This record gives sequence, structure tokens and C-alpha cells, in this order.
Amino acid sequence: MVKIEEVKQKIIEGLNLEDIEVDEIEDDMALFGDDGLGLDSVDAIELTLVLEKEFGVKITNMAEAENIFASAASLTNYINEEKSK
Amino acid sequence: MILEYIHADNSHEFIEFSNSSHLTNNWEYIQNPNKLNFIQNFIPSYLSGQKIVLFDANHKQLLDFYNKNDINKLEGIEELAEDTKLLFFTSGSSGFPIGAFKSKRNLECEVKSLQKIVSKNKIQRVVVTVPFVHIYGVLAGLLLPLSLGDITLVIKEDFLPYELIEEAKKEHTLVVTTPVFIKALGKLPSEHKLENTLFISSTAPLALEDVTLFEEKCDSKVMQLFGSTETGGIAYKFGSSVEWQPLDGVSVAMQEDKLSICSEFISPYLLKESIEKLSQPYVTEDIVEIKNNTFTLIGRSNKLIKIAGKRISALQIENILEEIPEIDKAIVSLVYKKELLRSEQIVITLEADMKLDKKRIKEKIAQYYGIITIPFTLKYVDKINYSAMGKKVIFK
Repeated sequence: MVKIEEVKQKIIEGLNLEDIEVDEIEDDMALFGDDGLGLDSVDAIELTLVLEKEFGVKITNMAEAENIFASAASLTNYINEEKSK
Repeated sequence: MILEYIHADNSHEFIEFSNSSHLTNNWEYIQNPNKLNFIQNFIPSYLSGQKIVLFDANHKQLLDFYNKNDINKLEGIEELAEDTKLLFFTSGSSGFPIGAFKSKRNLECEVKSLQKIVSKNKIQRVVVTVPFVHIYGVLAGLLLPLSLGDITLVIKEDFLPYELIEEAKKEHTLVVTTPVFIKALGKLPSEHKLENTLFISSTAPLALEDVTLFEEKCDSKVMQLFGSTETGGIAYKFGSSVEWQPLDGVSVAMQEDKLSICSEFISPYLLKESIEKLSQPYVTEDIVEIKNNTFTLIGRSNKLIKIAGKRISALQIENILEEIPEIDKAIVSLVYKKELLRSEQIVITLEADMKLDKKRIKEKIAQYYGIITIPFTLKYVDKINYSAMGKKVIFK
């Protein structure tokens, strides 16, 4: 099982969010948009690469990505579901 | 040309263009809420000869300017040559956007020049990942496909790397994109056979190793385009070459160490405080070396930061941030992180009374730049002083 803290750490490292700490990303905080972490469409592309490299999980379409990337919690759930298949 | 629009749920819709357009003698702003709406409004308007103003509605400064000033009433607007049809905006050295008027001849000549280069690939489909706000997206992503004639234009609001691979796999495809995707496709663990696909990339330079990795992984070619809103396209290069070849219609020279050009694509007029006629040769801020009619880029001579195709004034952002009461001084600099897709990153170094929430900094910048994404990291230092030359220096 991948822990949510590990996912948050990989988001920070992969997207070079040097000024953000793991505990500043709440589990259900929106990753995209102005109300949350503020990631954008380029970050979404970078995040797909990070997920494949770090967790071996592939995301192939944007419609799917919108739900998966909703929060660190949804991202962690997806990684664990894919890894258990 | 037929439009193949890929919806968010990945369904594909084929759309024919309407030729009907309500032509007025005024300059009309075409909004860009999304790519599909924009194309459906822009193409009939452009073909009918409508005079069009284009800018990103998220750019707050421009929207304010547009709302406060009727472009049709600007002094001198009626004296512009009849052929002047498009007005783009770009950031100026003070940070306030400069308007660059384009004549139909500017655009048609440049499209013809690009068409000559890509025609060897017998293009049947053009896949566009870039927005249609700036000249590169409109020119390479819309006017070039229009000029290619009987082809399919493939549009999606946002692509992920594997979605782009699926579209690029189809025979005789031209992909109009940016360094972000070239780097992303090169980083995918899997290899792909895209030998009949040509990629065009612009808005920022690609590192040689990113080009090499992309070409190895995708078995494809990338052509980089170099230019600006005011100048239009200046030059191109293929693969890992460092030498830029001027486009047909552009002649290059050096003035002191800067690139000086004469070109059929240069805007005839700029909109600054007022409308100005632009003379040629036009000297850019790019420091170059010229050899055998090709040039190598050495650097830039001013303090503008170019990030993802947007010119950002470091000085203006520093001034904006220093308006925040808790901030005494700010330094904005650019660092290159080759491991990231968005290689250029802005670092904001602050001398401040306290650490500030990043959101507050974002909101302050957004008051001037709207919701345009300017990715940055924050650093705090004890002291920022001024050098004898008046330049800010960080005390460690």
C-alpha cells in the first residue's frame, strides 16, 4: 500500500514545489484550481509522468485524470487500486 | 479543411466550418473561452476580411485596457493600411502589453514560408496542442492548416502525453506544440514509431538533450520556430542543430551584437501609448552570432523573462510585490531546471517582516497579470541591498 504522505512528497518533488511542505497539502485539498494547490494543465502533464515513473501507474486520458487528480487522497486511492490489480 | 474536435470524454466530432460571418468595418474582439468556440468565430471572420483583436481574456491588464478604450476610436486607427487585419498583444518592456498589428500580407507570406518547409511531409492532419491567443497558435495552428487545404484539423482543449501520441501516430500528421510536450514525450518510458509525423515547437527554446531524447523515443523529427509577436517568425531549425535558418522572406544581420532583421512578416504598426509605424530593419533584443546566413543565439540583452512564450517584466513583478506592506524588497530571477517540463522557473527572493502565504503573493500578481500562470518558488533572505550600480544584491 502506498501511503498518502509518500504521494504528497512525490508531488512536491516531481513538480518542484520547493516552498510547500507535505503537511501543507491536506488530504482532500483540490490539487488544481485557485482554491487549492493551484496546479495547472502543464502540472497535469508532469504529474502523469511522475506517477508512471514513481508508481508504475499510467494515465492515458484527461477525462480520467480529472477525477484521479482531484486531491492527494483520490490520487493515492487510484494508485493503490491500480497496484492491487 | 475539416475540424475533428475531441471532447473531454474522448468522443470525436467532425465539424464543417460555416462561411457565414457578419462583416463590420470595425475592429472586433474575438474572445477565446475555449478552442472550439474560438475557431468557429475566428475562421469565418478572418476569411471575410473582418479586422480582429485577439488577446487572452484572462489577462486582466488587457481586459481593463480594452474595456476602457474603444480601439476603433484610437487616434490614427483609421489611417492604417486597408490590409491591416489582426491585432495581437504581447508584453512590453515596462510590463504593459504592446499591440502588434498584422496585415493580411504579413500572415499570408509567413504561412507560405512555413508551408514550403512542411510540404515535404505531405500533411493530411494537423494536431494542435497550443491555445489560439498568440501569433504562433493562430498562424501555425489555424492559418497554416487552412492554407494546406484538404486536411483535418484536430483540436482538444487539453492533451495528456498518451492522448497526443495516439493522434500523432496517424500517418502524415503535423503536430503544432510547445517544448512541454516535446519534453514529456521524450520522458515516457515507452518508445513510439512516429516516423511520418513532424512536430513544430515554439514559444521557448528546447535543450539539445531534450530534442535528442524525443527523437530517439518517438522516431520523429522536431522543427523549432523562433520569432516574436512583433516580428512574426524569424527562423527555424531541425533536430539538435544550434544554427537557426532564416525563413524565406527574412534577411538577418547584426547590429552591434544584436539580431537585426528585414522581413515580410514584421508588424507594420505597433500600439504602445499610441499607434506607431514600425521601420525596418528591426533590431531584436537577442544577442547572436551570424555565420553563412544562419545564426546562433547567445542570449538576451534586456531584463525581460520569457516563460512559456510570455514575456514577463521581472522589474514590474518586483515593484508589484514591494507594494505588499510586509515586503521590504523583492528580487525576481529565472532559473533553468532541465528535469522539469516547464524548465524555466521564476524564483522570488524576499526580504520581508514575516513569511507570507504563497496564495497572497499569487493574488497580488494576479491583480496585474490576471490568472495567467506564472509558476514561482519563494525564498526568504535576511537582507537585500543595492550595489553601487543600483542593482539589488542578496546578502547571505
